[in-house]
Amino acid sequence: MSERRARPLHADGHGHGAATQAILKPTTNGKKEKLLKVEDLRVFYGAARALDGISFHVAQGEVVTIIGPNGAGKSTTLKTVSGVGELLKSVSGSITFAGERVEKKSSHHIARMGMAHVPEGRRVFAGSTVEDNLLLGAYRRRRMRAAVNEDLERVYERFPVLRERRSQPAGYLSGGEQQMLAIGRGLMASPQFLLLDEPSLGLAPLLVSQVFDIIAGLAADGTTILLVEQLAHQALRVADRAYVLEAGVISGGGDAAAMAADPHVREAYLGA
Amino acid sequence: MARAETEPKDTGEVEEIRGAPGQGVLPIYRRHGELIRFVPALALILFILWFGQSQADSRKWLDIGTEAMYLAIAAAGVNILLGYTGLLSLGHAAFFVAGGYAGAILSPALGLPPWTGFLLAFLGSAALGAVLALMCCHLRGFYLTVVTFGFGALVPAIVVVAKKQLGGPAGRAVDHFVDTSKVPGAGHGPFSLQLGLYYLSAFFLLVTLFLCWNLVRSRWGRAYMAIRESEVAARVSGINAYRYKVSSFALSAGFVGVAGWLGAQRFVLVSSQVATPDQSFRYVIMVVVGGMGTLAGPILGAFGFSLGFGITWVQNTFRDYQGLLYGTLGLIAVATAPEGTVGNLRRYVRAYSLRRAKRGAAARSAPPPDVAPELRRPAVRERESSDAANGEVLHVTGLTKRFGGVAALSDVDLVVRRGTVHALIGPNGSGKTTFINVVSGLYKPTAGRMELDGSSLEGLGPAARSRRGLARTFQNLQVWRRMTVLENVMVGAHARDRVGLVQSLLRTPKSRRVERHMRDRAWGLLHFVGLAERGRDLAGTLAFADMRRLEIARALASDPELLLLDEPAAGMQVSEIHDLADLIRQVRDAGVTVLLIEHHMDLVMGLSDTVSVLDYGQKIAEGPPTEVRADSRVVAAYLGEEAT
Amino acid sequence: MTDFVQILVSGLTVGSVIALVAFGYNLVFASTRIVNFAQGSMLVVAGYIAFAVARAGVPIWGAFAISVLASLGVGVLVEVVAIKPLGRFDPSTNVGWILTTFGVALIAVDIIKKTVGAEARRLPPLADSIFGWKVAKISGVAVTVPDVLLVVSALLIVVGLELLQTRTALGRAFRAVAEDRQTAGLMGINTELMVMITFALAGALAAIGAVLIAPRLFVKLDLGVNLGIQAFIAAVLGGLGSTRGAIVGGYIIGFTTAIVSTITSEGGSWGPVIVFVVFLLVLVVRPAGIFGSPAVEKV
Repeated sequence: MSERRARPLHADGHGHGAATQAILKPTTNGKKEKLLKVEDLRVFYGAARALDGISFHVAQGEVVTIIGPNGAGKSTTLKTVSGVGELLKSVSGSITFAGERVEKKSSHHIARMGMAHVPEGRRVFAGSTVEDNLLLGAYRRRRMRAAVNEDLERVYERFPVLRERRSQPAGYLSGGEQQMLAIGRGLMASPQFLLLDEPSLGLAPLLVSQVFDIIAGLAADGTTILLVEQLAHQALRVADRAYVLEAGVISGGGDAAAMAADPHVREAYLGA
Repeated sequence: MARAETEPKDTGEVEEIRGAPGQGVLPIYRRHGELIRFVPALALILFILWFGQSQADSRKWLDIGTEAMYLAIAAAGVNILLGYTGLLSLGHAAFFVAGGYAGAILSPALGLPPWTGFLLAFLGSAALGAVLALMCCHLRGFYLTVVTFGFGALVPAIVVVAKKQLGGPAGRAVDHFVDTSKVPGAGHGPFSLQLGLYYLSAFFLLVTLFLCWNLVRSRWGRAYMAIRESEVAARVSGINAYRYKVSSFALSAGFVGVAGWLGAQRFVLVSSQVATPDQSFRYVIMVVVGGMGTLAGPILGAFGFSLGFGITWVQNTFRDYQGLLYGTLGLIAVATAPEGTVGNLRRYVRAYSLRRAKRGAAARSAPPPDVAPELRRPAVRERESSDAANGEVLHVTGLTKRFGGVAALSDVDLVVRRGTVHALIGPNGSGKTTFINVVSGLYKPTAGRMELDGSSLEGLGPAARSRRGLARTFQNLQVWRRMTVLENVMVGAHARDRVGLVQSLLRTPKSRRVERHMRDRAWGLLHFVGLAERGRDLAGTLAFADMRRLEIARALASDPELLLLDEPAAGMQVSEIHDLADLIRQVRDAGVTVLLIEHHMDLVMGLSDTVSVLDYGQKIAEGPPTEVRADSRVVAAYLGEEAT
Repeated sequence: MTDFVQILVSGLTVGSVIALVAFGYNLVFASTRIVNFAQGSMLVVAGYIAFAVARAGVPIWGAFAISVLASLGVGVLVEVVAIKPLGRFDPSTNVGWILTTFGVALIAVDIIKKTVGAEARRLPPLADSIFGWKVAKISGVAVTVPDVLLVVSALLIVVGLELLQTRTALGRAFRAVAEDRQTAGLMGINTELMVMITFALAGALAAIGAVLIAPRLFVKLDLGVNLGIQAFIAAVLGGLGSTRGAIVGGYIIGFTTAIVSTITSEGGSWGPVIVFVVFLLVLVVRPAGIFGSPAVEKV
């Protein structure tokens, strides 16, 4: 049912490839449409206020990053947007995704609308094989066998190491490989909107730049991305715009290049 | 880790009281001195006397009263295991029967008077429980329940196999019973036998209550609770979890055995008919409905069920449908009152006290007691051979740990020198936490040697290592949330004193002395880390950074040689990190060696004498902070160009 | 020789009976990490449904089908009553779901007692003959059609369940839900629906088991308890969550019991004791059962 409602957003009749869907160029009619719009979002964990009335938006085809210190509420923001926060005691405000209010919707509903959330700490299904993990990523399109297989091929091309280890349990992968698997799993959903939570966490520097190259590549393909990242300099490198989230409040924001030059941001997050 | 930070487990505590100091409000009777604590006990005694007097002419109600008493004993026994140790047994009804048989068979066989049966029942059931526990306490959570369930289901087969002794399914008559009409207070009425048995059962209930009371305020009871709250943390605090679980199991079985002996006196028959899993389930329901992990809960539960069943209407309606009744109550209990009656009452009282406190009406708990200055700082234990290891506290060679095919640590050598702060840094996933887990004994290394103070740690579990002088904190907090802050620290000192289970149960002078010393020591360490004001609050109500301090205090309570800190600054604010640095410095100055795992570079660089860097499970650099900071490999693998 | 054949036949059939019940435990465990203590009761309920339908004059295959369909609903009902309310219970122990599923089992038994009564009922076998073949005597031991049906169906169910669990999107989703419910939701998996489907399937399995077992053991109330416990031990023995584990566990119990009752004079009464000892020994060596994967302790 939810799938049916989500359908207009997908390239359903455009041959095979909801994957090509990811390459929707946003600027076709000159005006950027807001894919995600968050207004006055407040979230409580018990009595603790995690988010205190934040508003932001992500337009079709944009890469937006949220930077900020540990515990500022960055992950909470992503979790609330994708509906994972089953433990959230209370959420108020509005979240509009692809024209639909989703703040009260459960995560599977939102996922089927085409939002893929690559969670912090990778969260791969350790007991399932690499390939099963990727197929789970494509769960919402499980009936489109051909398209899924094509995407599987594409992910394997992007991450050859996953092909090598396709029949091993994901728990046996190293941290970096798991991160690639988590991102690959997200891509398998052929999402129109990708949430990335700390993709660099636990990765060696070499892998970090690799991961950000991948993100840059996705961005170049036109994927809309909301990125939360500790390594602010990397995040600002790939992003179009950035918000600064501090203690549950958005304290700044703007063009990524401008943010990278902003003295406060430089001092607090870029270590300059 | 991040999950633990952002998604506090719903421990059932009042959530609004997290954070600010002085708000973890405890029930009244835990705040106002000792005397008020006896009010519930006094009420129980008065109720027992009143019931006995008023129902002396009613055989039905005397029987029900007796049943209430011994079921309360059984429920109290189950509660030790379920409520305090956190282990669920679905086979305890077997111990009820075992107690009955032990009394009925052993006391004539040994030529002892019938009343000694209670002791034989206790010992017999406890021994049986211990045997079963030895076979199943290595199992995790639910699997233990499975074994007890299977064990309980075995009873009918056993009574058939040992038909000669146990009498088969029909049971065995008790031909050697206590003449309860001689019990004081039994009087000379027509039902003096029943009244006497009632008083006898009540007496044993009071004894049980007294012992449980002592238990939960002792080293043993706290160890049980620590295992319930976090077994890993209990083990690294010097508690041999397996042994303690077995002891808890045996103790619990023993009490149920006494209940079974009393039941056998009532029916003058021991029968396996009551040893079904359903019956075990009933005990559990009583405990849950009354309140797990409270002293009053099981008694309330047992009384409620027994006396409630005495009501004619209930009896007539549910006589053949007890399963329906208990099953429904179980469902309702889980859905509406997970903390049981007593837990809910406490919640109300706490909420009420909180409201009063907010209005400024009541001064809350008493200020923390003053303790001698020498107790207020970390102590270093006396070493037998101070120069054996020429200043090396920890010496690790060739340490390797593989998970599946992945080597989390490969061939790591590390020497930590006495009196230093030694930092271990590296990217996430480089093996730092694995290193601490291997050193503290939670993981078995694939290869390599570890020495503490010159003596090998090989083959020692985490508890034994704690006794040798290793202490640690956890990256994802392992505070025992439903124990008070003070109790948390007292458990930390678990291995520093030895008081036996029997002494703890009886609260002997020695156990009191040790208890007092442990308490003072714990207060002292709370002063040291600056948490003394919160000592009486539940640990689950502490703010995040305070929990980290609490873990440090708890680790210090074992008077460690070497303190392993696993990312103590993670999730802390900048000002809190400064305080933490001061604290670690004071720990070092007091003579405790520190091995620090940390990401926060300012903290590491400002504090450490030596820094070792791990990457992909291998040590890639080591030396003074300034050198390591400049090392090109470290910059490439970890620090990065921009971050300094 | 007769003894040997006797042991073989009895071990296989009893083992299959136990496995048929154990599959239900496993299926639920594999996707929820919960053991449904009500599985035995679901079997009894399904048996009585089949009986009632058959008595009304419906041929046994029809009764079988109706019982399976109705049991899907029973499974859903159990899920709604026992699993849904678990939200708030202390997660540190397993007390919550044990209480609720056990409670449902007790309630079901009493409801049956009140409505149908406790007597044993007979169900006709699904087939009297296979291509005209009715019964065989091997060394004097009778092998009947229902027995063969029982053993073969158990094996077929193993294959079917394993294929479902490893080869289909549904099976992958089950596993994902069991491992990490939150992340499964992020994949677009309706986790609550998955849990419900699991219980429905467990209900259907119970119905299949009940009808296949009935020619041997009838439909009776204490089947739920006795068989439930044995099946439960078989499931744990083989490794909870592993379908092949369930049948191996069932065979271990079946053969142990058969051997013990053949060689001891007192017949069956030692059987359960020996089985329990075997069970303990296996758990000492493999705490998560033969095919179970031990959970890695996270610190």
